[in-house]
Amino acid sequence: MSDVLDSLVGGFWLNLEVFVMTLLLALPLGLVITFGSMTKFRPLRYLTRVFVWIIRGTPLMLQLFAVMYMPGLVFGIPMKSRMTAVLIAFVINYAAYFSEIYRGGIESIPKGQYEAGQVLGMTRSQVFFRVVLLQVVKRITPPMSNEVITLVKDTALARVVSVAEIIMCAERYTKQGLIWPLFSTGLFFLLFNGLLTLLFGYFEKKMSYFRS
Amino acid sequence: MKKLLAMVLALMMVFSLTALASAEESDMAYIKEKGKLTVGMTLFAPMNYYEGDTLVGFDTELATAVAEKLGIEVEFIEISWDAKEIELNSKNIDCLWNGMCITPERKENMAVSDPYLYNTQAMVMKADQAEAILADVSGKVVVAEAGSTGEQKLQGTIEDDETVEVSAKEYFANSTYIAVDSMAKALMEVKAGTADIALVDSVCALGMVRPESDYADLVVDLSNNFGLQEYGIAFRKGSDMVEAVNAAIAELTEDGTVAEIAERYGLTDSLIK
Amino acid sequence: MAVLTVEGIQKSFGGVDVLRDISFSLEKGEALAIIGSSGSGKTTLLRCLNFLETPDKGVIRVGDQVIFDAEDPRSRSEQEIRQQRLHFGLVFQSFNLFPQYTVLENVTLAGRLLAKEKPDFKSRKAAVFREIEENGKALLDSVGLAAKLNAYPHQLSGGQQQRVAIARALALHPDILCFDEPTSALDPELTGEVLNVIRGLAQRNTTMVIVTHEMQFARQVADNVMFMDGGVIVEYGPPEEVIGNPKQERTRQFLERYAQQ
Repeated sequence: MSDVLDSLVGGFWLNLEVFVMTLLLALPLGLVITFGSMTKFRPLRYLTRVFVWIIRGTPLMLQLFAVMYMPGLVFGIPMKSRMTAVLIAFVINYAAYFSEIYRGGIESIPKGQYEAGQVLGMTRSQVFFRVVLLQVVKRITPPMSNEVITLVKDTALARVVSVAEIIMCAERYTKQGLIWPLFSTGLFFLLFNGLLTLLFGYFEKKMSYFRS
Repeated sequence: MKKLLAMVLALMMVFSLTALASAEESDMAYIKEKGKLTVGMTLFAPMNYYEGDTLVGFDTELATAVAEKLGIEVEFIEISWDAKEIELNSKNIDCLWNGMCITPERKENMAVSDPYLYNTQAMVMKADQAEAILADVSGKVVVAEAGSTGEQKLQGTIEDDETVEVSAKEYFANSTYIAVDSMAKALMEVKAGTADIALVDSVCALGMVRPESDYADLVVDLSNNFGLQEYGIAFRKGSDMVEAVNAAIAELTEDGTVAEIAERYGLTDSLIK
Repeated sequence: MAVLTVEGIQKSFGGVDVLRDISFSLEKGEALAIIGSSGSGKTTLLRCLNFLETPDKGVIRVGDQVIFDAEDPRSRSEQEIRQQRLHFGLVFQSFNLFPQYTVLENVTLAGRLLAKEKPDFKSRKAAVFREIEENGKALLDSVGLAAKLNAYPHQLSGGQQQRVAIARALALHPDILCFDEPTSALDPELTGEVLNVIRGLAQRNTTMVIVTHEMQFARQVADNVMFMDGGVIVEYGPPEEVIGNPKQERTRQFLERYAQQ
């Protein structure tokens, strides 16, 4: 019983690692992709949008396989670390999703907000950081919280390239004829997502002082 | 906190045990009433695989012949090998008939038939690296399917028979072991260079590494004897289907049907007489 | 001497001429009302003055300083535009207050950002900010919102929001204050409070350009009225002439249609 629990906790630790690292890297990378997809320089804009289309249009599981095995199969340079492969795939995938949420948020801000800032003599970056940004953050919080909760559950996919996350750990017991560990992994995800839901709720409440 | 979690987990265990309680009434009666034997399998040559649109393979043909003998229909369902116990206990399938090695553990958790085929563990490597790897496997990465006989041999959780001189656990003592989710994935790891050696069922390896396949640049090495295993068919624990199937296979062996099927798939030498 | 001189402004969007050769001037302390149906180009003219649109041709002068010349690319650089547009203040039809800031912050934000660019800012920081805040409070007091300093925009009525927007535009002490249909987005019962504020500004001789549909108001407040149609100035003069006794047929038709509504 306690060794099962230890093994599951150890596995979930990897899920958390994938979750935290993906979030830390994909949040800023998403903003870079957003700027790419909104730039006035057409070739870059089209390139970025095609990239986002490919990443959002194919299964994450396939992307995991691609990052893990393609370097070796195509270029003869095998991927060294499984965790690195998982993080590359997750970060690119989630950055693409985040970038579209950011873009939707930025485009939903009325033109009048930019113009009001401009006629008051603000620079472009002052308009973005002082006027627009917080409004964007408020607007994208609900879709972002959805995406972040999905990310928590998606970390279980790391097992397809043999990163021993919690479900892979649990399946070892299933093979020994012990079924309950597999279903109890749900509790870990539920607890953690419950925590995140509370956190996002708090965040939304913090920003409810203004209406945008 | 930890205590609470333990309690909840314990509760869940009780629930899952009662919910998935094994066959109390006759399993055979249940299957006969359905009129159909539902076979759980994963696709791998030469046991169960597609040629064009038709499912063929040694196990496919044998299962079909046995069902015919028992006067019921047969249906094949592709499952995730990881979920085989759950598939079986939840009655989504009636048996696992898919080149399954008989292990003491499986015998304990399921009702397993008499063995019908021999299997051994093969090392699969890139052809141009095989010589160097066989000379020294220390520091190499070896992959096997999670829960497979190969994995259990590597971890020493399965007993070796008396013919084994050096156990897989000893042989690979200085190698890194990584579990993957299927034997096919194990071969892909080797081909992609993310692993050096795949330890898989010889029956599976010989079926997949063929000149016309994408794995043509791999080689199957059987020079190390990590022990002989036997393939069996698994039913729900306590099922009375086992005797019926054993009897049917015995009859089919008697009248030459089994030998005929084995010959078609190049498995004549692997048959248990 | 004219505080604002506009010479030969032209602007087209995708081949459609919206402004054709607009020229006029404005004296210090003068209130100019621009009237005309929608699509006549009056809002575009106002946006050109505030650099929200770039004219294709023409020159804009404030005092004797050229602040825009279509022939001179230097006058189009972002840094240049940012400096020059501070000669103007703009009050939008849809207020465009910043929702995440309080009323007082809305009025003082731009001033605080600009103050940071001054070379002696660091040494005088506290004093400068205090000054900006006092100025903001005084402005809000003058538009009758002294009690709402710490309210957020969504807590205010439309009329109150527009009064904050006027205070915000005044905070940077523009030479010319522009209004783009300041009461069009308001419920009828709320227009009065905004018009009264503008009326008060006129009495204190604030230089203003007001695009409006309120003829009665234009007549009372404006020193001159400009009627635009099809991108040109059709008639220009004191309100009692342009509105009271129009000479041009097109002006008459517009005013008749307007009176019927």
